[in-house]
Amino acid sequence: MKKTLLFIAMLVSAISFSSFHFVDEGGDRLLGVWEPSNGRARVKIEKIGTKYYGKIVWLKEPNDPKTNQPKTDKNNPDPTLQNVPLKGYRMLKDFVYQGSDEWSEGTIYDPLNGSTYSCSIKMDDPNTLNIRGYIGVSALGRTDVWKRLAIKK
Amino acid sequence: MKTHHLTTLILLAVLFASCGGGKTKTHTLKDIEFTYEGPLFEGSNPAQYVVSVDLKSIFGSEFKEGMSIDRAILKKAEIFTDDTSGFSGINALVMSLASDNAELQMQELAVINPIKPDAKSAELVPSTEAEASDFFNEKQFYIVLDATLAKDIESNLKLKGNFEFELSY
Repeated sequence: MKKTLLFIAMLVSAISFSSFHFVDEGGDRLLGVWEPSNGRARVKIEKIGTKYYGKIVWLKEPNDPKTNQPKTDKNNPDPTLQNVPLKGYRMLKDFVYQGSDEWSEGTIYDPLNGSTYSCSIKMDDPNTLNIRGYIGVSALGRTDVWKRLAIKK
Repeated sequence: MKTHHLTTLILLAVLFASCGGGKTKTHTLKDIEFTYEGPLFEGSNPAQYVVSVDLKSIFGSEFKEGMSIDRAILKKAEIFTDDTSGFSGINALVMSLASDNAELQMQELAVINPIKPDAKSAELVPSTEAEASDFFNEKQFYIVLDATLAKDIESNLKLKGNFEFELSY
């Protein structure tokens, strides 16, 4: 009887460990460098703690044409942070993996107008993301298709 | 006349209570070490440090069960380098806070851009609008320090920081 109970306990812990491990690995498929449909930037998605963040690592026009200096976040609503370099800025923040190739609870920042929107991410295939930015409810939003830079086979 | 005095005293007491309700304490996170593992690439590279929040040790004898932080403002953020070449090769530093709590959004708190290359320490300019009490009411949070590099670096990079917060409770 004791042996049976021990066996069941080990089986349950093995199953729970493997499912937890699977969920974690699934979320990490988002990691990598991605390009939005307009091709003006490249965004590297990284993990901090248990959440996912995407920062700008390449800009088609890295310098401000007026000053010829590297662009900064000049539209940030907080004036003290308008000096943050745009290259390196985290435009995707705080995404939580929900399973089934979906990440949500995050935000997307538009440096062109300094606005932050709610955002969810759906992975269509290992090299394609549907990034949906919205205000309030997801139905009132816009989806952009991002492509992975180093194609995964 | 006595009633008049009493009314004035009550009014003063009410005024005093409404103005002096909260207390503040300066809390400094000292010698926080950030390690950037090489090879590092030109551009922004992140390093993080996990802060375990222990209100008991922050407040000592003033600690009370169930107490919480009402306001946390970054007053000073200073970053040091042991490297003899100072901050040569580092163009900018951005400090942010992050949490595993899905309800809490990452928050940028301070920036310096550009950095004097020969400086041994860099004082970041704290945001005048950011408020970080939610992070101090968590069990732990992350300090993320993004270093923007001018060029690729093969080796590791180490920076240390002191962060002074004013906590209202």
